[in-house]
Amino acid sequence: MDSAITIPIVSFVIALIISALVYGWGAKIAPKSKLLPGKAKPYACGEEVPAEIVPLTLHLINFATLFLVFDIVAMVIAFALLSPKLLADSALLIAVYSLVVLEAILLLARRRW
Amino acid sequence: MMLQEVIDIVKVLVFPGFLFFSILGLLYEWIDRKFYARLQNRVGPLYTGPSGFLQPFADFVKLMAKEDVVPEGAEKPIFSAVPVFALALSLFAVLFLPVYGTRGIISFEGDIVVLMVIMTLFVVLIFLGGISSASRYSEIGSERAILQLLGYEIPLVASVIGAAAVTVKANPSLSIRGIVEAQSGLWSIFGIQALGFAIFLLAAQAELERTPFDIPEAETEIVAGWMTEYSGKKLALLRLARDVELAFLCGLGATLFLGGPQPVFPGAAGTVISTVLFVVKSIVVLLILTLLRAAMSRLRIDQMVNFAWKYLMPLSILQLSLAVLIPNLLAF
Repeated sequence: MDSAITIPIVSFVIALIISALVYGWGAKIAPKSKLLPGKAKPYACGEEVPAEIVPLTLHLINFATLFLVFDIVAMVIAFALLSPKLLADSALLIAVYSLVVLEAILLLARRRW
Repeated sequence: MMLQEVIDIVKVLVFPGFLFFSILGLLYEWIDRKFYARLQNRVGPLYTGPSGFLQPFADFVKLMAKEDVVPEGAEKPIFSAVPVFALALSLFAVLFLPVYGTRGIISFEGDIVVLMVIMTLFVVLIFLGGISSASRYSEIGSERAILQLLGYEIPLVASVIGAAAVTVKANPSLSIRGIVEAQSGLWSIFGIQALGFAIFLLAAQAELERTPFDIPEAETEIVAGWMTEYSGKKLALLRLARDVELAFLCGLGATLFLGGPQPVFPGAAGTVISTVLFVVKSIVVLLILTLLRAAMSRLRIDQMVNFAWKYLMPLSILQLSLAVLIPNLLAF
């Protein structure tokens, strides 16, 4: 039997903790940030460009959603071609994949950037 | 039981897990830079360590010790979380690769689908990092990253599923283990999968945002693209994540098309031989990727999307159909 550490979600959390530790180590050895006027301004090659998060174009979201449908369909067809049994076995994974990507797109669409 | 757990912890943290692939990532960056420089008649990294071998590590430490500036107007939580998650995702992905056996540390039926998800999530992170920077350059870079993803994602998935088609004859499987075991005789690349390998290489190049697909971070147009506002430890983490991702994609290419660590021998000596084989094969993939980078110039985003949808996509569907049809026809 495999140990708990080889369960995907546990491994991911450990990877996350290690990344956070590396990040923390960087915070320790780096000098404290001294904010001078202009330093925190967005990089704009010397031009005066205000820092603002511009809303996404809806066109891209529509395109992305269409792509998502196409992608999922392509995967389902591919799985079915490989083996009908495999399709039944992997149905949950495909469903999870679809939900994750759909959720990401919905988040992006809803958020007022 | 206790001993097994300790062994598994060492596997995940040290070999063939996080530490091994972090070192491998830095090594691959050095090989990439050195080979790229030689192709351009330059010397490349030279001073840090023998032949500049330690330069990527020195760059990492230098960036870690630099001041970290968060630009005004940025969404700080997302802006800061992206590098941490990017590194975590890359480190997590490498656990699926079989370095010395036929299976990785994490292995189950359908794990190849999880790898596809991880690769897509990486681009979503890029998008979030760029868009939360509140900078025009970053925003253009991240929108380009998403557009590019829309182009190469389906060919990438098709090439990977095509690689899984080698398992159809004996034991149909969507696991990396199944794919590696099915290649114990003949590697996938010797056959219709040669086309799949070519498609995989192009898609990997796009996933890694390397020339000719370095459109999201085109430095002559949009500074550093989605990474423009990143500095200090955040940039260090992003670069390390990129290096680990490079090692991961080279390893994945070697696993799916070049037999992975095959032939696998038992015992400690077998582990060493298989590991060396895995590293050598993935370096071959890396050198091809570097050659592509050196031989081509950057495409425009519309050219890239056009190329992906008009040529790469039909080719990938063709190779997938052939990969699935040919074993079935031969069975009759």
